[in-house]
Amino acid sequence: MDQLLHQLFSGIAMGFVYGGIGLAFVMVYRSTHHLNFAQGEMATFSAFVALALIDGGLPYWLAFAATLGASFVIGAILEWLLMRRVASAQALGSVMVTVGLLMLFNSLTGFLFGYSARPVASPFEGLPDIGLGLVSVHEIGVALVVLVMVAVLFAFFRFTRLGLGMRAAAYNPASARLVGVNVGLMRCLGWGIAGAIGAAVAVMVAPIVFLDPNMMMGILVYGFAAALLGGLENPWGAIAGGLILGVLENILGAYIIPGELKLSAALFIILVVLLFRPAGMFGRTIVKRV
Amino acid sequence: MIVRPTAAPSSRLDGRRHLPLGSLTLVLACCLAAPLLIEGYQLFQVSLALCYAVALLGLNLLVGLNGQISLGHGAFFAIGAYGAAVAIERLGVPYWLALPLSGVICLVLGFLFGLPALRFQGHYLALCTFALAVAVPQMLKAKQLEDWTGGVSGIVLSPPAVPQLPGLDTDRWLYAISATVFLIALFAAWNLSQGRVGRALLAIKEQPTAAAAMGIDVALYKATTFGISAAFAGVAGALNAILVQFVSPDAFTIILSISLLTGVAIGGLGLVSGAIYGALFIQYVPNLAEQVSKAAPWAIYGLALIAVTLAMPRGVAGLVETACARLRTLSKRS
Amino acid sequence: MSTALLDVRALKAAYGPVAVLHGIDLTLQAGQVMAVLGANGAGKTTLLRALTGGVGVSGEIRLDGQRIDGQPTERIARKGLALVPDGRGTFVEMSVEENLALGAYMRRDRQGVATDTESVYGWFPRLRERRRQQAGSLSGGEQQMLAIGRALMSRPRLLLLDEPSFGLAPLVVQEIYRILHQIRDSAGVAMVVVEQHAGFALDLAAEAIVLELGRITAAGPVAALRDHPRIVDAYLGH
Repeated sequence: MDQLLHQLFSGIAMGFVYGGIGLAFVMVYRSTHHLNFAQGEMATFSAFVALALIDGGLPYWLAFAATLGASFVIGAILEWLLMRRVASAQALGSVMVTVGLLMLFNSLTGFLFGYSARPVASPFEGLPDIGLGLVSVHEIGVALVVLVMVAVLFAFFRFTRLGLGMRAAAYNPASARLVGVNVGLMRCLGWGIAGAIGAAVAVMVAPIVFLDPNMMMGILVYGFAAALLGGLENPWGAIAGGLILGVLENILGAYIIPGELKLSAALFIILVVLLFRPAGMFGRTIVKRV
Repeated sequence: MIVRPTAAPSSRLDGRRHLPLGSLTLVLACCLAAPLLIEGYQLFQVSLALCYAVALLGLNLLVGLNGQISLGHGAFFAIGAYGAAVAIERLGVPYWLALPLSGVICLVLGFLFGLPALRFQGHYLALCTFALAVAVPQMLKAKQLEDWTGGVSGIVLSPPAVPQLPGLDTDRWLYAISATVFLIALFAAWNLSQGRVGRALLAIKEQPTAAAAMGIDVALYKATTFGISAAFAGVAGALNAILVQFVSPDAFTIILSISLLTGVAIGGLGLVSGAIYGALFIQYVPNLAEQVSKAAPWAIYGLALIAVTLAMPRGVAGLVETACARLRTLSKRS
Repeated sequence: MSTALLDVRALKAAYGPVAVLHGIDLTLQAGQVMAVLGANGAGKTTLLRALTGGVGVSGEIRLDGQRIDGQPTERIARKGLALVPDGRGTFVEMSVEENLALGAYMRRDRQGVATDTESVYGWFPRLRERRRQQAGSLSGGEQQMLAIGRALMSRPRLLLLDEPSFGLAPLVVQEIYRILHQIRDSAGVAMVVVEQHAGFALDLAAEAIVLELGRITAAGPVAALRDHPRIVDAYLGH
């Protein structure tokens, strides 16, 4: 029983990571109606940058904030430079460009920071251990960071004018312009925020999985699955999806599915969701009059 | 045609009923001439390039003809390779039978995968195939399947028996196998793209609603196309296993899928030329790049994908075609 | 002499190499309604797109004396120009409320926005009933009302309407034009109404122009033009 609880909490902790990446996808999707296959690699790159800053002597949280800022800027610039050109094309264009970015960022990270894995210290070390032995302080920290991000995003989309404009820009750019929305700016913002989210998640997950250039590839698939499961437009959905995936992965992984089939399980879930409930658990089905 | 930011007329993969005798003769001539001009390791590299060309023929049918995106053809390549390896080493199947066997396995699996994955457009298919590409190498390492797959260490294949003919060594024989497979695949792909199936696929790509209204079972056609495309990748994978005489999970990662997609993008317009240009790119460029730096090959893939999508949507083949057209106009004027 | 609200000179518009408008001149005073008539392909929609920055133009377009030609759509919208596009342009995935809220995107005065939302619901009670509903599930007529409502939310000085009667049953069109009359009378907003079927538009407008193949072939006050052969053609839908 104790073992099961442990697996449960471990799964929840990892689930927040998956949900966090899923959140980045939701952000890009909500603002551009495209997917960013490079999200994971961009996040890994950011984590390495953060580490470099910390090694350079910057205090942890300052490095964290600076990295988030830099990732925001990088994301926004990439949208402005590249993604805008394939924004209105079929999905193939944006998929190709983001996959290209995936490769570029991966090689850039390897080139600048080397290919060996590095252990990373947790910023939450030394804080009172309230985890009751079930979960580490760091894992609680990760959960809190992700929760703050999703709450902020939710409020942003629900209650702010800018959030409304961003959604409109993705749904109907022509009409959005007619009401005064700067569509290009919205897309940049979306990519920028997603970049920052990815960076935050990567920095948070680095102490758990060791920082190396291929850290995020598997997490990427899980992040996709989480976002899809929760409904690609729903921030809370991504978190919920992530938690479900994390728990399933741990519990099934411990008792039923061996480690090597975890990604296949994620694939299976993606296919099942698309088959039976493509809008995800919390997505709305959109009525389209032909 | 890879990317069309505006609704431009579609690729040459439509409507051309007559064979492009010029390019086909050229291809045939090159295939026959190659073993006479090069040998040893260099000939082996050409064989590998032909192997990739087969996979690209299939992927081009999918992307160019039907407008679908697959980030997972490396997975079918892997399944074909492992299928052949298991058949040859564990079941004693002769290699020339293993090739079509892999094709059939991937045809069925591709079709089954395509049915749910193709319900929705674009991004969702990319997502599914991406997940497939990442999952399959992991699956191949599973301990449960180790007896068959050899787990992390993979399977070593014994080389195919070389007939006792004068001047025929292993490399030349392997080349002969590759060239034969490639030419058969070329013929098959050409037929598919020109016939009723090809036209139906184009109709689906351009106007799915109208196509459905005309009685084309869109879902079935799409899944079939996906299956056929996967079959090509499977045969290519089997050929690869026979050539390299080794299969292991780490040889078939997501990078392979991305390489194939890059090959299609670079090769671009045109079934024949696209596959060949793309295959040459995949075979030779990373090797050259690696000498510069470890990170270079992947960076080149990344840059190539982005550059082609943004600046050269018709790929190398398109550039060549434009150049040829210009030359023709120039010669007409003078 | 006060400046006209809208002053267009030698306006030409083209989609790439295809020229659609070949030199349009028109003026509109504040609070005035102008009908733009003409057959399919005459360039009516292109004219409205040209005014809102949706197509490449040469020539001059002045709104309240300020040049707006060549500016991006969102900038022109901020200057008080609102378009009800052909096809309604509704945000079909969003609710009626959200569509109206988007209409007020440029405004910062909460109280004013709330008042105006109430006004719109006053003009179109059916929208109030369906305020939480997804806009795509509304009927054609309701979506047209929503599109007009959304345009009004920005308190425009000039309202452009592209074929508000398109695809709607005559009774519905009647109701919409009845409301447009009310809006004209009470809100004092200037309008340019593009219509293929002239009747309703000519009742609403004070001025009219007829477009044929990208040129104006008739122009003037409606009263004077009623018997003009081009107008009669337009009335009969030729």
